[in-house]
Amino acid sequence: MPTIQVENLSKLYLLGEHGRGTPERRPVWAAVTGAVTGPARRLFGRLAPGRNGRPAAPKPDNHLWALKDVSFAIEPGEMVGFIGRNGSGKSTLLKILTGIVEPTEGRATIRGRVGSLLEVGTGFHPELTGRENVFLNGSILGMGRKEIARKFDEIVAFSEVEAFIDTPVKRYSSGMYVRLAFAVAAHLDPHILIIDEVLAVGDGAFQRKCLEAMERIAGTGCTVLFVSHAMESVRHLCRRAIYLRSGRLVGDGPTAEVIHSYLTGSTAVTDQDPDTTPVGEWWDRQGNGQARVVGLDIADAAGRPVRRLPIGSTLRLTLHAEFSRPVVDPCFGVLIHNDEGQTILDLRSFHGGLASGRVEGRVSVEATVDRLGLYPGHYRFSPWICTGDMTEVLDWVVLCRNLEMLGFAGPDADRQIDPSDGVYWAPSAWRVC
Amino acid sequence: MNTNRSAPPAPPDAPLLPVGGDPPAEVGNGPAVADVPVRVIEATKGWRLIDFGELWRCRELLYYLALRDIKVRYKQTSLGAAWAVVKPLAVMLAFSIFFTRLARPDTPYALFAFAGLLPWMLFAEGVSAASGSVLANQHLVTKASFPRLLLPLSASTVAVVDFLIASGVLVLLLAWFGVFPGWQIVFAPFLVLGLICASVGLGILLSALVVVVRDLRHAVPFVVQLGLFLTPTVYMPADKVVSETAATWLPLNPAYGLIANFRRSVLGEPLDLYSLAVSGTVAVLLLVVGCLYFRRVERIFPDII
Repeated sequence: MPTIQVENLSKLYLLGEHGRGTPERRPVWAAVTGAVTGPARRLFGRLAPGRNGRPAAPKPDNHLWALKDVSFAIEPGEMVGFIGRNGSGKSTLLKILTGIVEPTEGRATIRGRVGSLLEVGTGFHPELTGRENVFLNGSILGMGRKEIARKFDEIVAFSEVEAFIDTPVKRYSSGMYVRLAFAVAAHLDPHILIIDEVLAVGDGAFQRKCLEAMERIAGTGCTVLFVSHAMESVRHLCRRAIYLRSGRLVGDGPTAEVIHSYLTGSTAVTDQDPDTTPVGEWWDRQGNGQARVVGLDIADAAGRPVRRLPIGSTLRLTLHAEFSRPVVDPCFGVLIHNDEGQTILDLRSFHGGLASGRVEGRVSVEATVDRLGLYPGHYRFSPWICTGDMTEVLDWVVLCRNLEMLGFAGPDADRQIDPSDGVYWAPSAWRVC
Repeated sequence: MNTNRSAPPAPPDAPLLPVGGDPPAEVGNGPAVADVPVRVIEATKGWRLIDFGELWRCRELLYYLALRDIKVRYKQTSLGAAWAVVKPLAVMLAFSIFFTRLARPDTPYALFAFAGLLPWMLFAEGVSAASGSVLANQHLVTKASFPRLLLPLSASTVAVVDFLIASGVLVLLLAWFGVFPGWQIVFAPFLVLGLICASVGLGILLSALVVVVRDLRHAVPFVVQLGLFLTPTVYMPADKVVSETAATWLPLNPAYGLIANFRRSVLGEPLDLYSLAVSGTVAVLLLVVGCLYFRRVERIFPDII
């Protein structure tokens, strides 16, 4: 029997404040009478709201189906990632499953105790001490007093704020606050854990700790529903992913496949992994077939293949291609996308001044980027070959390679760089003038 | 084939094939599903009364929410909980200075006023705190799942705690003025319960209304202030001050009959059964109506808050 059975779940929201038209366009007299009758109508309209806030006769143009006819089933012990862009309905879905929001239509059947973590530190009060907040937050999350008391020492040890446990949390640094809040949630042991984006907070070391805690929770046989924008965490944690777009379920299956369809907007059909599948065999490619990218080597300055690269170091890309017929002056290129599918860099041989002339058979071209400034994070590469006039794609292999960028290394290791501060770093010279 | 002059073509954003709820490839070994709670979530409609079972299961959360409200109230103040005593005392002093001519010869006016102000503050502060409780806890309403009724209930406890503290002062005042309460004092706890019932009921009703009609948020505080004058807190019982008609209708204010009789029980006078009956009935009705309305609209709180 599935732990969570969702059948045709839908949620309707009304846009605007009770869906009245734009006031600026109305004639003056309407504005005046509206000022008198409007509040009265609003008042009576609100005092007796229809089901789920729906007034008696809603106008269709005000309708927003935040969720529409979503159905799926989750078996005990599964870890499922929910992906989709902002406003795709992920959070609405989780709020319905946790019982915060009522659906407009459809039904969800949930078997087991649900622990939800839609926010870090729900109910934390700044004036209360860490200790008081642990008990308050724990009971909001559904733990009993004895259960919290039993786990209290563990929670405090996990959070690393022992010394400040009797200090009001308003005196905490944001890091301490988040650690304590996550520590409480990590010690909940529900049958079903629902988590929304909590890993987006805290420093790298603590994020890893959170991931480990989630893996530990998953290891106990707990069913985990995990919403995130960070594809890498979803890929790492979940075997299955569900992809929502505009409130509809558009993908449900093995994580690699669903993430790929999310990043590219295409329909996924395979479970190939960019870390292991040779580029020549990569499934998602487009082009007229006159050439084929058969390899993409990602290497450092010394030519050693790398999976990870510190920011500011030299990147050496070698693109191996096979041309089935001669092509004059083709353009080679590599697109680099971030973890959310946005294209950050577009490297192309024409920008580098390469005139390859007439090309046939096996060819390799090398591109060198000095001081690659991609901020720390996960990136994906899409190599491509076009005709010289850029009108036709010979081959384009979508998101077929991974690279993780790290912080500064070597003599620059003391430079701080935070992925939330920017996208691309460039060397800059400074002087007083 | 898509063509693009500057870059490889963007992938077509064609509608994807809908993918149904395909069963996953692998399934782990979850905990035994034999004795776990099963919850069905779907749209509900109509009126509902309180789900007492759910409230009982969440009693510890009520305790921690109440504890939070009580602790936060006087945190970082030097007087702390003494404020619960200072406020009614200050009002009593102010009224004693200006209204002593209203006093009856047999009772010291200060004691008379305090015995009225004390339950009034229980009622008024309970209503004020509870009425704003859902709005004040927006983050909880939108981020956590628990019986929403706990919010006005926990907010009301603050007024009860203040009342219990200030009751000590009433005892001291009685001793100071040498007034010894008669056997009627046994009714006092029940009258306090009635007042709590009225204040919680009105608070629950208002806490839901304030979410739905935000304008009320501005109306509640000053209506509560006006209520002081519709309630026999600092003046004589209505029958002696105003008309017979007023005495008939004023008990519809639940605080009226309950507070008047609380003072009578403390000062050892016979209870006024008419006002007690009317006000008591109104108090119970308020609680029932408040809960009904709250339960009806609580399902849309996270959508409209």
